[in-house]
Amino acid sequence: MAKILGIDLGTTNSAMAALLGGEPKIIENAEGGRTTPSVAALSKSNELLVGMLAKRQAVTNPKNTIFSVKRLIGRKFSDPEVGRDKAWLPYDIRESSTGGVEIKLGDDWKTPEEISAMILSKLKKDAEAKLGEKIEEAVITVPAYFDDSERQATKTAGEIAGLKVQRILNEPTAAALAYGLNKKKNEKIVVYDFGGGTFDISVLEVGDDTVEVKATGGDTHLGGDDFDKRIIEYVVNEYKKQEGIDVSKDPLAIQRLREAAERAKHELSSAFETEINLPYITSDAAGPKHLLLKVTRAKLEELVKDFIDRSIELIKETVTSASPKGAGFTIAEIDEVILVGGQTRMPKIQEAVKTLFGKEPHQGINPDEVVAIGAAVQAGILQGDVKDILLLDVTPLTLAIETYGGVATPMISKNTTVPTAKTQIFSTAADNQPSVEIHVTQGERPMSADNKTLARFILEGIPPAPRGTPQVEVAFDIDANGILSVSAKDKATGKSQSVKIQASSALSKEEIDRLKQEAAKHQAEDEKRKLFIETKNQAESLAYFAEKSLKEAGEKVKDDIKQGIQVKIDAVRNTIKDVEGRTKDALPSDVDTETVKRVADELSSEIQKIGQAMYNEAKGPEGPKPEEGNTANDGGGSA
Amino acid sequence: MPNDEELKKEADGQNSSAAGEEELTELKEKLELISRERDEYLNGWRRTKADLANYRQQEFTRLEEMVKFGNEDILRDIIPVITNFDLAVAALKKQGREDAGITMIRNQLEESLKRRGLERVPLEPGKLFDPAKEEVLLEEEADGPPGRVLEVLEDGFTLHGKLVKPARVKISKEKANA
Repeated sequence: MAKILGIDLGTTNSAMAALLGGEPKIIENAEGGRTTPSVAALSKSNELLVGMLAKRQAVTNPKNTIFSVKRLIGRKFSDPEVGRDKAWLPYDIRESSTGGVEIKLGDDWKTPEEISAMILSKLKKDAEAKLGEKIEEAVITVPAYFDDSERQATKTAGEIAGLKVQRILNEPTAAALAYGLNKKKNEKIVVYDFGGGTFDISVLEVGDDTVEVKATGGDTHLGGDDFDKRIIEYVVNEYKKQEGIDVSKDPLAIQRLREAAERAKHELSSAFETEINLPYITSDAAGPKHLLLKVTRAKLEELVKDFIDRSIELIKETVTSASPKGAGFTIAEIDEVILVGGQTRMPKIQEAVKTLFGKEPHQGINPDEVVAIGAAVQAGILQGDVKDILLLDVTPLTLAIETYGGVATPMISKNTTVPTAKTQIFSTAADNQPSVEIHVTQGERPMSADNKTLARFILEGIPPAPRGTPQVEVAFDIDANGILSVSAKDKATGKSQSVKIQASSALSKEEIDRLKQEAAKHQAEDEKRKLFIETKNQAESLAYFAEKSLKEAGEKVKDDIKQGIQVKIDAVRNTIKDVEGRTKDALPSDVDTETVKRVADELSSEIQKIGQAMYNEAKGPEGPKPEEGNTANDGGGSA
Repeated sequence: MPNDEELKKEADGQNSSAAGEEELTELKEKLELISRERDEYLNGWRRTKADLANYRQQEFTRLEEMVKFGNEDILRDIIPVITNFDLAVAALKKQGREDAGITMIRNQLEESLKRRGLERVPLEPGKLFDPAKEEVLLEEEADGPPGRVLEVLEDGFTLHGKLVKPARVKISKEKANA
């Protein structure tokens, strides 16, 4: 089945997304951009250009480079908004025979629908090239305040572009869909959308399977571009003060400055200070001139303070004013806030919104892409059912096996799609250990005792061998019905034991949530305990290894060295015994972990003397091989 | 006269043939259902296998792209440095103070970036302006046909063939009195 394309047809930039492998993904355009400028142009050589290419020739072809057409689509020529835009748009517009707007492009007059269709056609063509399949259907987003005529015109634009428009979707609703908020019942959501050229606020209410727009507000002529302009003005003025030169009339200088300003703005979202560094910006009789100016985050915030304050005032107005001007809610009633548009990356804006609502806004998805992502989610809903004959489940919690020291070693981690299988080799923890116990647990806590036990069984008959030598292969297998089979097999003898657990994923939703919450609650102390046990296990392995090395070295090592090492081995063992005795049911402290680590480190440096002694003994070119480090295998079935 | 026993047997015979028919229909229906389900599952399985194969292929391409373009961000940040070197070389030349050292450093930087796929796009004045590779900043009246590149203000760059910075150019326009 062909894909439905989700399209965010923006005023300044557009983006597209589709469900790929079940996930909404942004589709890059032919030039490799994740967004496409909403610009169409007829070049001087009569070539139709769309997107970045149209933008690149805009300076010298302003009459035939059409941008911001979204401001005109579906409107009457007599609309006061159109009158206001006509004053500043560099291209010509006139009233059509039906009272709408017509735009001059070359020798022709085009409708805004036809111009939008040029942008949509490019998106369609690029998506087809990228995905390698025909695209015939789309979901297109529009601002929540668009009226029927503007929506209809957008739909017509899609159809001219050869797209069957399956849905005209509100931009704020798309954003809510991208965050999966449509599933939350009876919630009030504010979408704060600060784009390149427009600022929109929408108040939504999610009911049963519906998202209702309660109010819209904002400023259609305020956007991120205004922030850039403020920075450019500031730099130009500062430079005038420093050097007495006005660079604003030099097209190359101003273009370099525009880029530097945008970059500085981006950098100041993560750094507190940045530098606008433009060598050879201009020259005078004395030679070349450079521009070097530090801009701090505080300075930027000061430059645009009025924009941010105004946006906050507009939110208050849209949320609290009585209908039809606002939603008639109180600020405290709002459950969720979503940030959309590149400008919302600015920390000051995030902070202002957070302070106003007293809650963290949603901002995990790239704010330039969130609307297109939501459109793709809607496309997926429309497309839905067909492919989902086979619903695949996931394991809700981690399935683990208990290893030495009571650690829960994950075999199949949570959210793994089933059916699935995993095999891992474990070994013994003590010399001549005759059996291993396989303890299967479910849960997110690092210690087995804190998780739910699913099964326990013992594999016996392991031939006597030093610790870490036997190889026990443990296999976990979950079938499509969620039935977990666990088997353990001794590789040497071929002996095996297994168990089937019916209810591995049959935990109730409440139980799963409880286990997850507990894991989160105990995360810090669990990590501490795990660190202690790992340190302890390493120390014990080292003591074991040291003892073995002493035995093997025999007479080659002098008694005083042997004694020194034995003292350290005892120190390690006594320290562990001491700590374990003291902290039987309590949590070992950081100091305890440090103490064990310290005595282990001391032993580690002490045992190097064995190697040295043996080299000295050999004193020839063919000395003994260097020590191979800690040979303890990872894990070991707890006995 | 058949006795009761015989009558019962006969009736059973009729019944059992009727029951047999019913069972047959039931089995046929069941077979049909199972065949349909089999087709559905087989298709689902094929589709899933195909999905996985396609996903693998896409993932492979994506990984290749990631390796190729993984350093795009940092290279984009370095392009202005090369451009500024160009401006420095040009400024020195203009003042008659050419410094081979500066040119050498620029070339060294450019060479190391070339090994990572970043290349300067050669552009000669006189060529027709191409918005796929160039951005126009200025227009100037000039003899000859319009829309030609008069001056390259900044060079363009590609990364593994993809344009990452367009050249910035001045182009010609027809003379007003022509």
